Amino acid sequence: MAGLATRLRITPFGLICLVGLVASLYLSLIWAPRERVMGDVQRIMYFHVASAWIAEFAFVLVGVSSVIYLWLRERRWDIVAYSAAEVGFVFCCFVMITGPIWGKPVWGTWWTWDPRLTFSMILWLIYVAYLMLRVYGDDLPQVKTFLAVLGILGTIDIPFIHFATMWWRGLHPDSLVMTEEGLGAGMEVDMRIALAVSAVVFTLLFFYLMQRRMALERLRDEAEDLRERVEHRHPGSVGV
Amino acid sequence: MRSMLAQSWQIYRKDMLVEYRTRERVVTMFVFSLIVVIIFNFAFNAGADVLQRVAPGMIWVAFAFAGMLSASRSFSPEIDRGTFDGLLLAPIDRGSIFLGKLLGNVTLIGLVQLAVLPLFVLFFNMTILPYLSKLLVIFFLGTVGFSSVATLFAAVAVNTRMRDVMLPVLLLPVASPVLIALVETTRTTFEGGDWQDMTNWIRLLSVFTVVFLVASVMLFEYIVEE
Amino acid sequence: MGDRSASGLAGASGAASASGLAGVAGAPGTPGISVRQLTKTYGRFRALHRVDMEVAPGTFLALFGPNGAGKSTLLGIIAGLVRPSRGQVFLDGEQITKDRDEDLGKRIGALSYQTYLYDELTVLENLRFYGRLFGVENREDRIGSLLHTVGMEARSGSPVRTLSRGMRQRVALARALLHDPDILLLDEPYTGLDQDALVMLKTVLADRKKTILLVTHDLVRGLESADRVAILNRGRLVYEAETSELSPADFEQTYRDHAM
Repeated sequence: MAGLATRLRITPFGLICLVGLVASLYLSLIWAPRERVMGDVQRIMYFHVASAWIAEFAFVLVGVSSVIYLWLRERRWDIVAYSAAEVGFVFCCFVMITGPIWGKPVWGTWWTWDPRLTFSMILWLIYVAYLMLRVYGDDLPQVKTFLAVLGILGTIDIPFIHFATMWWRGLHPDSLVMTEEGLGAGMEVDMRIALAVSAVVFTLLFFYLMQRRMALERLRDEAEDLRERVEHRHPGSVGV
Repeated sequence: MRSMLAQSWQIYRKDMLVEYRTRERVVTMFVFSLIVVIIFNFAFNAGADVLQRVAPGMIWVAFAFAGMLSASRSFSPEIDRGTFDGLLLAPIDRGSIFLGKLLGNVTLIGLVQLAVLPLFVLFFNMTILPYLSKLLVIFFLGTVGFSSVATLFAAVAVNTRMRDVMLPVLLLPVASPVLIALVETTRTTFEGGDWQDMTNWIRLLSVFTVVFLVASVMLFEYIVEE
Repeated sequence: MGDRSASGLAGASGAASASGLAGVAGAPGTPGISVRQLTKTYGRFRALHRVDMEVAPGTFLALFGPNGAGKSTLLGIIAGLVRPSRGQVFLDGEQITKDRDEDLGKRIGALSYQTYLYDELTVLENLRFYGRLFGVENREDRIGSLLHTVGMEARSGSPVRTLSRGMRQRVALARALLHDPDILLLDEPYTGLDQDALVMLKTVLADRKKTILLVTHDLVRGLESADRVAILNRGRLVYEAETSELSPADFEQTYRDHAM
């Protein structure tokens, strides 16, 4: 067992995440009461909302580390931004997948232009733009700067997208706090606890994945460095 | 600050003189917008009432794409012919290059809007004269806000391998709040609404424009440095 | 090389001793280029690696090197177009690589194989535009006399589009000299020049009030104008010498030894 754990490099932090995930699954799927109107499908909310929170939080992290990167020009802040974007994108995809699954039985349709879903959709597109620029711009010397600029503008944009999608559907700011989608006011205490636990566990999971993703990127840099050094000593010995 | 505006003005004048000689951008933008209007007519193939409802959206789709064309073309010839380095070598604040380009884009999009709007009115049988002053304010605010982001992202996109694809991918999600606000205010105006009916939107448009204009001027310097 | 950079550093810290250091790049107030430990990496590619280089005021350094040696990157960094990964550049003893100084452009004139001219505008319109951008005083007089120098007076009203490659390069030279810069950065400036124009460029470059850094493949032309030569290969400065100590025939061999 210990051998497997080392081979899989399961860190204590990873173990905590695993335990938390199991606990959160139990709380959400079994412990929390069945929602009266929507039934069991409502349970997807615990993951949907928690992922939505992470997706938004991750992009703010992209923006903040982008500012620091432009300021200090240190590769590690670029790594933070990139890792946050990649992991955040995964959570954002999860939001886009769970939204319709939840929506179909509740609204009777896979997709509605509900303000929160619309917001997530636009955020998802910004993530896509960020990752596309990373991939298709990797031959550019300035690509890290470009990405930082996109990260900053995207983050500044978040409140604008919030308000635009909300007013677009004719809603007012007061009703923002999760009342649409059948949450908030009508939610029982047990449901709130399950959601809170889910949010905390997803946040931990996000940081765990971030940590691993950043370690991977640093390893790549290191490998590149070694390759460079070998190449310099024995030109032509390493295929690029 | 004053010298920065003076420098932007020089860049703007130069760009407009080049455009006056070639008329490349204005003509392509105009033809493009015209085609969008006509194709949308086919796409909807609907009665006058439906067309009038979708018209505001159509107008802004046409102008958004015309705006991207303008923004992209404001950098691509300079990069391709190497004149952009000539600007970067000059003893000027690089933000002024951005402002000059932005001013040029707003001017050209404005010209195309002036030419295309009457055609919209004609094709869609809309009344426009009573709302002219309101539309002017909305269009100006929106065009400046949209162009700020478009000009900045165009400066990024022209450097990439897939420049023509990258600009819409980068720009449209970030610019979506402005586009939503523009469609909503334009619709409200055509339906005879007053300023009170769109306070939120006008506020959003103004704040977005100011915030992204300032951010773009500041960030441009980073973009142009290799 | 070693002692020169050492005294350059001393000059940068003590302005009082500037008279004793006359002729040394890096001393305050004296035009000259000083490059220290300059490194530039593009992702995996190391374009420049710990380059140290001095161009003393009023001297002409020709920098040779094969394609991809990092010559243009070095010029780009000195001109403020490219941000170095590490290291410093001093112009007139003033570090320019920390923050971009807008006035940097006033001191530097750049002539490259790219003309920086707008095809749609006339020669005069191009020069006027750059004249305004560079804040040139007595603009019209200055443009007039430069057009005379480069022999393009007769074509001042022609759109650049209609000019031959050589003529454009002449106008580009006038453009580079417009603001009377102390430092000239030349990147393959001979591109497309005819015999007359080459003679003219040589006369201009013989003006020893300016500090000149030339980057080229052309060993013969570089040697005949420069005071010093240097070879850059794979991002490293591998050779430096006074032109007076060299014979053109030997240098070709030297170049092959160092650049291959």
